Amino acid sequence: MEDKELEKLLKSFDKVKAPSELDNRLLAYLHPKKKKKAPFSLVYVVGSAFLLFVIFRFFNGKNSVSQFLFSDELYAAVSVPGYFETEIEVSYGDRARLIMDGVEVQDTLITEEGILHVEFNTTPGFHYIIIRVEDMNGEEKYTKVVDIYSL
Amino acid sequence: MDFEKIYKKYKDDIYNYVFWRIYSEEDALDITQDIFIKIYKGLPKFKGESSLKTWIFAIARNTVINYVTRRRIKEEDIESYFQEKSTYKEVEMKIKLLLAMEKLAIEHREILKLYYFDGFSYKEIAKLLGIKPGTVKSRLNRAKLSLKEKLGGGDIYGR
Repeated sequence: MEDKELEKLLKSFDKVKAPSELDNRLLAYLHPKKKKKAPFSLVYVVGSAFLLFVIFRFFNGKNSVSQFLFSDELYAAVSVPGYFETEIEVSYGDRARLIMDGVEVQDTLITEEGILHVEFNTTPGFHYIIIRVEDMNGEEKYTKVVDIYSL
Repeated sequence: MDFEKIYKKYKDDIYNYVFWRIYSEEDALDITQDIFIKIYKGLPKFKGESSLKTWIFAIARNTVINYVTRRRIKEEDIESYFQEKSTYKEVEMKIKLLLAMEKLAIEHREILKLYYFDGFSYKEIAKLLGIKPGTVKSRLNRAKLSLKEKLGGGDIYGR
């Protein structure tokens, strides 16, 4: 390949424009709505004998949103076999990660402040689940390890 | 300094910077958002020791490095982006070029993208990377030579 050809090819890449969703996200950050009392809801459903498909839903009461948070306060309970539930207060810019049986199945950037509700229903058998929250610098902020045995 | 003005001025440049390093529109959106939050939070501490553009892109660079450290770029990432476009020869060549770039040494890949994809000047690259402008020029030349080697012989269409 000649230098001119390479130069031309290198210059042929168009600039990629930011999607308008970025405006909405930043706007929500700069002008946050009043803190909500009602918890967000995040539901993971783990299926198949080995791993895993995950259905991920998240509500703030009114609108479906694509971001969420975690924090220090943890309320957790394993009420019935195979079932886990927790509520965590989270803040903007955190990253919430979910690792199930050694596989990272969720890595989400939180873009709204509020309470995150996490709920798992697992398939029968033993499951090892880690919920990890990092702040925007990648520092570990919160980790919860949950062992679930489901009948 | 007005954050919203900064955002309007640099949002496309930052998104473009992020995208051409990770090849995922979805992740580029998350990372760009993350970068602007850092800029917003860091703005009161910015003392003008470097240019604003250098400072902003230093944040972007660190954020992308952090991401790439955790998630390696795969060939499929590049190919899947272009699959949505077309299968013309030019697109195939672009894929080939990007794959070759990903095989370069980090400093070569970085300088090529800063110059050709982000439109930085030698001086701007020098400030961002903390090297001399003369070094930028020589490193860029070495990077192009290395890229040609990776692309192999023949013309750009592999003929």
